[in-house]
Amino acid sequence: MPPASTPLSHAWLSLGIFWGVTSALTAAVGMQLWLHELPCALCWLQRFAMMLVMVAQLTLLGAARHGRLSITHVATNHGLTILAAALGFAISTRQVFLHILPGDPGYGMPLFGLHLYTWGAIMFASCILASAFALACHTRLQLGQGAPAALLRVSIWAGIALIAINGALVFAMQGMQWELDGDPTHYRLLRFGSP
Amino acid sequence: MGLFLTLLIAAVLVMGLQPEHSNGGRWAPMVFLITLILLAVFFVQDMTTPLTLSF
Repeated sequence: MPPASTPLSHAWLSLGIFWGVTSALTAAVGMQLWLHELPCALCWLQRFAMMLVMVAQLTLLGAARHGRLSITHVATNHGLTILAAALGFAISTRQVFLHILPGDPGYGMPLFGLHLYTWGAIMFASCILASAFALACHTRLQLGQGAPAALLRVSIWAGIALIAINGALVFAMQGMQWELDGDPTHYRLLRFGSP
Repeated sequence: MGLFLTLLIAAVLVMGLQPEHSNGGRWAPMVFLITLILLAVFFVQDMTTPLTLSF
């Protein structure tokens, strides 16, 4: 394999994808907890797609942390990232189209002028492009030169914590029922929120 | 379905980060794909039953 010709490494690219998705999911969780913006069923489906993207990148970062990162890890995890992000993009796009008519206020509160599902569509498209770049230019990116171990460790624990928080929130919202609400008004398990 | 999917995602994460235990490295991508397929099924179900959504 020819030596990589750029200073960018696979670990740093994965960290970029991971923190991009983590920021979007953290913003959504923050708006839910502090501004009481309860996510609808489609919002939750997008969150699951985000978590799948995070998991694929975390597996890659975990291998990088232990110095075991190989081209197999890169191919597998970026391939899975593209699949999850493509599904997430389809879900986000559907929600954008549901509110595309003039006069429709959209679902939830906008963030920097765009609704969360619009940010989701942008973020998923960016993930697809970044992972496609990693696959297409895999020989140009450094494989051995990883990111600082402390940063990888923090990223992994942040991902685990965010998935655990979402697990608790989805359980609080759906309670013991199988379906998620299309237009939720309260936490079914905890029985609080707006009526 | 939300809790179920989150638990599956957590399982993939644990297997992916612990590849040396219980053949996690081999099974993690498969469970990932199963989770992804289930997510796609729930999305299609959501699209085909618009009356459950009151946008």
